[in-house]
Amino acid sequence: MRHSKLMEFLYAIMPFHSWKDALLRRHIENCPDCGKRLASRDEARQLLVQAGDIDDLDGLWPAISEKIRRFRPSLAPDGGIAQHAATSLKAGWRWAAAAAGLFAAAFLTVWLVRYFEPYAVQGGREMAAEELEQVQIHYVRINNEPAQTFIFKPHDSQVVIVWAGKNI
Amino acid sequence: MGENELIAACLQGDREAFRKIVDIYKAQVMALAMNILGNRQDAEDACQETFIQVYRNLGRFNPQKSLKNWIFTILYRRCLDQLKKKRRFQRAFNKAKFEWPHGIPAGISNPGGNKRLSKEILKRLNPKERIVVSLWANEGFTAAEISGVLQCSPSTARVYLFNARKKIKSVLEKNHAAL
Repeated sequence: MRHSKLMEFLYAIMPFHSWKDALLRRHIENCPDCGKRLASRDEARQLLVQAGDIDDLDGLWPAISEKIRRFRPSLAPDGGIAQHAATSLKAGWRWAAAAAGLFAAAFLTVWLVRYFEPYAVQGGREMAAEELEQVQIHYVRINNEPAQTFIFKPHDSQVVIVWAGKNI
Repeated sequence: MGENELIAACLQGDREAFRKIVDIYKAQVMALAMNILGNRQDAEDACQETFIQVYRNLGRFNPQKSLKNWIFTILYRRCLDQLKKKRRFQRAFNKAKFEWPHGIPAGISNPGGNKRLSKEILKRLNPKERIVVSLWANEGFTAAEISGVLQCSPSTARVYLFNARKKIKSVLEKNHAAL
């Protein structure tokens, strides 16, 4: 029981169908405990509608015949196989174009990052130096002993307030 | 007359040949539609649309593949479209709070059909799981064949099938416990 729960948990947390399928194929299909938790073909058929259950389909053909009277089947120029091959080829090209696009986007991203990185580092250093210049203060001592020091800098102001205190 | 001869005759405009194709597959297609849509009226509409689309596109059919699987693929797409339309209609219907003047018509409240799909199955299995389990149990399809109908990978088909079988088992166990 605990074993089945564990497998179900593993199955539930897997994000991709291919991973779930790997788990199903490696374990669940060969595990009698887990197999018992799946419906067989006969059990599934009990709950499904089957072709034998359907009768009185005589009205289907007249309705279809009425609608197809106006046209003939569209013919592919070289039969179905050629059309199918063309479709597969189109799908193949679509994949190739998508892959090339992704590759180009990745290449551009890497190039942009490498191109602007030195400027970003240099700019950062300059800013840091400026900030140091602005807020650097000497070590505050009162009566030759270190004092508690607070520095305030209001947001929209250039004023820096330094407050030092010492309990004597 | 074989399947390929029937198709060739259809392509020459022989509607009687197409009637034979409809007769061969109509019960299977109808059963599958009922298993996806859950009621006879919608299933009949889906069947009609499917066979009309089959007739119109017969020239594009690849004769090296199975005609039955091709028809099932078209049916599956038609059923998904129908479910989408139905959902949209349901939303609009709920918004308008429409009331039928003489009670709900029979086709809507109690759809016709010789055997109705279990409500539990409709509630618990999504349309993809319903078609997968229907193809597997009724038609004896393998995961690879199912993936051809659904236009997905065999892994995905196997995962749908596993989920469906698990849910059906739990429905059966629940029903058994209720007895």
